[in-house]
Amino acid sequence: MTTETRNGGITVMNPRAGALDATAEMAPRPGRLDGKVLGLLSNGKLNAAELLQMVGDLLGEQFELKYVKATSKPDSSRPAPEDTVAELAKESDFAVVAVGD
Amino acid sequence: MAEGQLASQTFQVPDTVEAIEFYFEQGLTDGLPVVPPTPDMVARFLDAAGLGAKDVVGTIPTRKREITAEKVAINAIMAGCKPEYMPVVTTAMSAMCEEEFNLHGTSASTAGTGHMVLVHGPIVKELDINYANNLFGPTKRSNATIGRAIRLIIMNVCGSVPGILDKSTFGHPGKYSYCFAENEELSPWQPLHVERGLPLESSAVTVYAGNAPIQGSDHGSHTGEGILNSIAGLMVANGMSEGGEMMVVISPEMLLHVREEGWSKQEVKNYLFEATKREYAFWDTLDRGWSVRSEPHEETDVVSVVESPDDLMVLVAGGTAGGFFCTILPWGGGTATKSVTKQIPGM
Repeated sequence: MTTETRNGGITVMNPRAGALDATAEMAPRPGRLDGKVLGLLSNGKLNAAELLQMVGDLLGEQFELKYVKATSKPDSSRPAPEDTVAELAKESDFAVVAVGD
Repeated sequence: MAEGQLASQTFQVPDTVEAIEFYFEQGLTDGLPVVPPTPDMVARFLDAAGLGAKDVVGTIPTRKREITAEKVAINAIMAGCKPEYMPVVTTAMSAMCEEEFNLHGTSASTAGTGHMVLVHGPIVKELDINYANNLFGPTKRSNATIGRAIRLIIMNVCGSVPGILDKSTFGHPGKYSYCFAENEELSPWQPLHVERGLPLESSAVTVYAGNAPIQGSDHGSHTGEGILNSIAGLMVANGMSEGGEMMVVISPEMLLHVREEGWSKQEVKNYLFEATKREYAFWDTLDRGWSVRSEPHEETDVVSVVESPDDLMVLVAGGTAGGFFCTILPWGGGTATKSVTKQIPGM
């Protein structure tokens, strides 16, 4: 058996797409939010837009945001279209995504 | 193929029992013990599939994930598959990666659907896939492990780990395994893959994001219409689809009068379509908070459970005794998923 190791153990394989100890890096943090553009992306389900609006309002009370750009997925059950994400990334300095359900 | 071509990370463990514990500790199982996947077994499974380790079975662009044949083999071994099941598993995963199936949405949603594999053609007998007694319960190794392999791949390769990316509120028992076949011998009709244009002698799979089976019965009707009215009653109780499909599985005994009266499958579908028409106001009482179909309508307008008779998948399976049937609804009303039928390459 080729799977037997020298000390009599066995070799087994990783079923995951990535290494078991894989880590992901966070995107760079935006620092102070004053003067920044806040992007809001709703998944289009019930109450997602309301939740995002509240988040936007709270952030607006705490920071001098430049402005808020709100957008929504056209279909809650499918990923956001690439151009929607690209446009949001281009215009916003940071973004909050909400999932309503 | 040579084991040296395998690219996956390996781990050394003292013995098989420790290996089983290792997979539990790493969160790589569905809660049941797995068969430890060793490199020589993986090579054997790839040979059975006629695939190279790096061959891509499917992708999920949203998650930037590729499902390689090597990862399918590893998870299929863990699930308890035999090497000869590989063509069914790889074809099912490939079908689930078709855009219209929406593997990302169906494996992340709170709605908690299962990922059904319905097998067609000669391979059903070759692999001893159950289509009779205890259809959705424990019976054959093939049913139990092919469906389980799909779940392990969705968890381990696609990342739909319960509570992390799989946000199912309830899920359902079919998420352990959801694989069966039609009873092509006792059905008076063409099997689904033939209905969808494949040759009768071909082997194929249909994948469907199906909720749990809902069972109904009729042991009193003595006409085809009576039987179909019972089925229609349960379909109505399920609520209206949002434009998706619905599966109806009928047992051989339940079908007796329908068969004797010579109903075609299309006639059955048409009848069920008409018998399940109700006013919008009725449907709205069954599923509050979700939009009923979005086209402009009055509350008194009448629509069926599905948009077209062709959205009904009607098939015969289950034990020969008992006048039972099941309806199986699609994920989330079916707006964003469609079943996919795919021929198994070379079969």
